[in-house]
Amino acid sequence: MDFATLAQLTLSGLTTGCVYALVAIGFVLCANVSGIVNFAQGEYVMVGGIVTAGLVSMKFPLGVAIVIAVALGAVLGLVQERLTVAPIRRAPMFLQATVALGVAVLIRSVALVVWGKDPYGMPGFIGDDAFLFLGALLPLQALFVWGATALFLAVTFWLLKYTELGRAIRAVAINPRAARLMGIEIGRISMLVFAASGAAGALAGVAIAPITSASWDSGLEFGVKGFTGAIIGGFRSPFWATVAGLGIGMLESLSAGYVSSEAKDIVTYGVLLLYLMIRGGVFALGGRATGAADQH
Amino acid sequence: MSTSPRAVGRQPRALLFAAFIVAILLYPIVMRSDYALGAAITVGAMAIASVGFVLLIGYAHQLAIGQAAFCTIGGYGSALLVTRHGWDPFPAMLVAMVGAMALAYVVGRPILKLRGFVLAMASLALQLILGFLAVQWTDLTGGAIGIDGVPRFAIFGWAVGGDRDLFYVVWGAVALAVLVGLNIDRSRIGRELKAIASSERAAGSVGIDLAAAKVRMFVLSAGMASVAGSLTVHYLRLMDPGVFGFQYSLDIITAVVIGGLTSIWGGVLGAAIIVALREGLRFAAQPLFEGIVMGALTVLVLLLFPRGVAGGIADLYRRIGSRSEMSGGGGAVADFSDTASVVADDGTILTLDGVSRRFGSLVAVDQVGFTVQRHSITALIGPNGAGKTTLFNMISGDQPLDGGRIVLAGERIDLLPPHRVARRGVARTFQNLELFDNLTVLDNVMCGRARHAATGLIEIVARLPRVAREERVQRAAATRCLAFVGLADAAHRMPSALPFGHQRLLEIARALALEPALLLLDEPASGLNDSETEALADLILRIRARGVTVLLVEHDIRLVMGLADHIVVMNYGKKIAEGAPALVRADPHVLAAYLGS
Repeated sequence: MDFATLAQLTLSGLTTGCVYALVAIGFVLCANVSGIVNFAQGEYVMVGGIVTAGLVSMKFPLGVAIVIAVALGAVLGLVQERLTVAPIRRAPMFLQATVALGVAVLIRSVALVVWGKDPYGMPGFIGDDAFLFLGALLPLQALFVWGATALFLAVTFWLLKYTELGRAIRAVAINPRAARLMGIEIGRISMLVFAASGAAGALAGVAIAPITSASWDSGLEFGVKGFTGAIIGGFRSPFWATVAGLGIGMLESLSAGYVSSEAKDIVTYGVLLLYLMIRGGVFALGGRATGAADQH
Repeated sequence: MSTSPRAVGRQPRALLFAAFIVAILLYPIVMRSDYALGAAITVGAMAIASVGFVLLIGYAHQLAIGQAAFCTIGGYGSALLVTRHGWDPFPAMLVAMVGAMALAYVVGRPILKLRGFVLAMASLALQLILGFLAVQWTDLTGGAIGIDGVPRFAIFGWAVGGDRDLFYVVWGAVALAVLVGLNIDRSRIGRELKAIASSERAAGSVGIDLAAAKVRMFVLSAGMASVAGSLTVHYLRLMDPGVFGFQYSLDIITAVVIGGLTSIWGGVLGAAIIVALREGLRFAAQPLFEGIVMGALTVLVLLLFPRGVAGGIADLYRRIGSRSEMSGGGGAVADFSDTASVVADDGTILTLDGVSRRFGSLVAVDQVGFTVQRHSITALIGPNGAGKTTLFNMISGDQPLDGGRIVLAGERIDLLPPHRVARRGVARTFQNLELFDNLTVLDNVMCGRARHAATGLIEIVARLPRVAREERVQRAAATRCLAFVGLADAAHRMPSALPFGHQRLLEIARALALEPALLLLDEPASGLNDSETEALADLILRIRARGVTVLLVEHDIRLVMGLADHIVVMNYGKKIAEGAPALVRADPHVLAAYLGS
């Protein structure tokens, strides 16, 4: 195989991988502050894409549409936290997780009623031209996907690492009870993280919509693939979740190119299934659990 | 009739089941339209899958988002075996069911060891892969068009005539699924699942294999989902990738949530409600709103009435009819230690050798070694933060070692998970009580009998006579343990209704129910007043007299000095002294540690 094909596949994979990375980081942050896997994470990507595309088709200016879509993602995240996470913080975990799944169903069903079954296409932010990079021909829109992801990640990591707020978030993740004793308001942290995760998903959806088009049922796929990134990244570290999310995107694209386009989903889902089975010890004889995935 | 307390609750349960059977028999006679029969068949098939799902989510507390994966296996399994290979539909259904259960085992056995709801996503991945294969593997599955020409259902040549016969077959299967669920509910497996739901840690400490218990329910639920798939395909007379899509998985989840996930009947009720809702929306010409209604109901029911419709009905019933309680019988106290089998020749029961544990840069336990003699009362003391509880947790299997070894009667146990340590005869209590709040006092103690239970899932599901016999034996043994600690009168109360001191005794009774060779007591006197502490000392001596070796962590120095034969003193993760109480009391290191140097 020649280098141009490899670059083509890797770089297009990197583009979808950006979306998975943003979903993965949302999964990890929400899980760290609330203890639950937020099954609605992928739906925020769908909301971002479909709202922008819908507004643009109604002749809204692009910038306004983007702001509304991302803000809607943040508001939905916030509402989800206030109405369905905060009131049942003490309920058994499986119940909290099932509620999150219900929220996901609700969001995608509302999208179906409002925007209908047909996918929405939308033009690239600066046209539908392509550019040549390392021998790969990529849509200009890919630059926005990379840029938006890089910007969001940079801000998030800076916040987590260098601010009082970031320290509070990390403290809650490590030990919620101790964090509360130290005067950290878990409720407020949780609100903030859910809103940020909603916004991150919506932003990813906005950026990717011109490339993949937006459809009411696309959230499921983004969700599972983002989750795969989060779990392979260890579900504790936002950084490794990001890396794994990007990796999933590239793996998917490479298997589509080198194996067959039908194979790509099987490969990703197969990776998730196999990873979990090996992690759980298909080949081990059972011992004391110490793994990172066992810590929450 | 039996005088066991459970017999009281059995009558309404049997009545309810009888009423259910009568309703099934009458339905086709009353409701004769094709529409009513068809809807009931659809409900029935979904009810089979939903009853299985209640076992998974309501009992094992595991969520599977892709449960329809197993319906897909049943659907294609039946369709392929019957149309391509000319099988009789009944054995085809059973073979598909076994296949689905095997797949669930292969996937669930490793994955259910992990925490954090990874099964949910794993099952979704499985469903997406299967759905994808169904579309792409056209040679086998017929691709998107699917397989048509599936014949009516038949059982070894006896062909089902029309929808009315199929109705009876489907609802017969529902009744069977409900029976299986009810049998599990009142068996030791149901009790153990409730224990796991209440405290995974305590469940492990009494020898319950958490992962195995969850896997069993996953496998059972997969089998039921597969049967639902097979029967649906024989009703539709075709199978294609769209029949059991993601939506069907969501339907099962929503049905169970609305119907009530803590009750087997919730699955049946929920399936009926879901199909009724869907049909209602179709009449109202608003099929698009289905998802909104289902999603909103899932969220609202869980937030406001987490036990669903079945839970509401049960509450209503309880308010109308008062439930009588019977007190458990006493009986003689037997020896409950099987010490002989687990003691090394030299009289040592437990040996710790160079045991270490680090948390980051902090060395919580540093190269600690000592032995515990059979029939002794050995005490582990030391100031706060000395590493006593960490050491305890390493013995009981709750924490891994970073170095060293722990040997119980000649065999290493330091690599074993908690339930396997417990199964070798090491029982423990917890400093902060870990009782099963959702079970009665007697049931709490019966959970301690896990390692003495021999009946398997199949016997329990079929409710063989052996199961009831074993329950009687277990209940008698548990009652003896309760009597031994003086709680016989509280057998049928809930643990939270007991005063604190009695809750401590209950935890000891539960540990004794294991018939342990070694009993680990983690600060048993904390929170007790003087007279209770005195009674506790007496109890510990009586436990030792029964042949049980006791190792305790304790702050109450007076209690320890009066009780222990041998004392190990720790400070800052290290062992600083060891010996008889009088020797330890005079040790300068010990004085320095306690009085400050």
